[in-house]
Amino acid sequence: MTDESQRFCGDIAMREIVALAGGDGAGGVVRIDAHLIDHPEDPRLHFLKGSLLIELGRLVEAHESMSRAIELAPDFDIARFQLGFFELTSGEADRAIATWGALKDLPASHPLPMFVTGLEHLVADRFRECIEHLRAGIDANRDNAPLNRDMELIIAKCEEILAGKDAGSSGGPGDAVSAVSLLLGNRRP
Amino acid sequence: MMRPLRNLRGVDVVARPDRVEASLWRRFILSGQARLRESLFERYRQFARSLARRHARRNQLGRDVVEDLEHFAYTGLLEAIDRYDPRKGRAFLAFATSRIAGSIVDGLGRINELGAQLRFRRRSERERVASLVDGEQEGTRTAVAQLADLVTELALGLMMAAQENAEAGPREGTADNAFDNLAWRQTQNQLRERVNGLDEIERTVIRQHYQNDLLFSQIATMLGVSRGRVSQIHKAALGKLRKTMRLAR
Repeated sequence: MTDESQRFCGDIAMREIVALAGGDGAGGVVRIDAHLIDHPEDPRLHFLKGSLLIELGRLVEAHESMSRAIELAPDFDIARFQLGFFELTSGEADRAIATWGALKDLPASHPLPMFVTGLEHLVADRFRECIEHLRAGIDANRDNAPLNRDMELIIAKCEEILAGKDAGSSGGPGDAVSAVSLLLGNRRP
Repeated sequence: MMRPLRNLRGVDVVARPDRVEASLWRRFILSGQARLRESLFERYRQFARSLARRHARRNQLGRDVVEDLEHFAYTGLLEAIDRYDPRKGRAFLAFATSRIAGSIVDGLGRINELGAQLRFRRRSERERVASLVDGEQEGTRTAVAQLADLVTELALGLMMAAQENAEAGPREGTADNAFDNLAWRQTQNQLRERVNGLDEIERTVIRQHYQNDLLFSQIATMLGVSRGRVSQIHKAALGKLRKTMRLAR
């Protein structure tokens, strides 16, 4: 077992890594690997490495690193959310929902469970409910602007789909059922 | 191909092709599951096929050799899938190209060009027949009944192959009047439904053998089972199809 004081990489070193990684992702990964020799159980290093690997397109390794981060720190909420989101964007919806499971225990006013609920609606093709929950999450999220931007992109796509469905549903008799479904969808509380 | 917007599923909104592909590799490396190997094979099959065709064109090889080259390309592709490690940073297509090309050249070196097509076809057909007659117990049924079943199963195989090759152009030997064409199409549709009703592993064997022309040994590699097991699965699947097609008549 690693001594707790030795577990985490120092703040100065972390700031250095983040600064380097901003302009040189591959260099950042090399630097993180060097720090992982001394701090193999620092979940922040694994998470940061995973995020850089995604940017570099080294996606198989990225999943390993991000998984390791939440294995080491199960309550590292943002890492858990991002891992689930990475899995969702990799076409692994069931796995993403399982990864996010623990986030449901956070207070209802926390943005992450709101985002998770919204994305679960997305997986079930419930676009209106998805938009509603993602918007609530964006309103509640004051700390992480990039995450809000990701969610806004998803909202925009859902709105596009709904607009397409609406336009299609007025096209002819074959769309009567979908028009009724949309109406029923609107009536939901 | 992109789905029309109104048919888009929720997961399609966020799924990214590069990540979906990486996820397939990651799960295959971790589990070695045959289902994932098959998904990877399907993903790159057209690429292997195009390399075989390009090789034939460049070397001015006759059309009759192309099918053999495709078969060698598939062998190279399966080997590449089993040896590839995405963590080493090389893109799969770059990694696989040299292996597929090597397999084509090696294969070509082993065969006589003129007899190539014939050999592949004969080998494939021999496998089929051997699979169907294997395990028949003498004396349990009359020779005529056994022969009738064998002929039915072989006919089902030919129908499936014709179905898969339909896009390539008009079929030889198919009916030429409207009624027979309709009957042929209906029977093919029925057969397609019955194939979809088979167990997953049976569907895989039937699809890969008749649709992709894979030999039993190649399907065995794909599924991680013995060649004999593939032969048994093939026989069981055609037996099921024979019975259900009879019931459906």
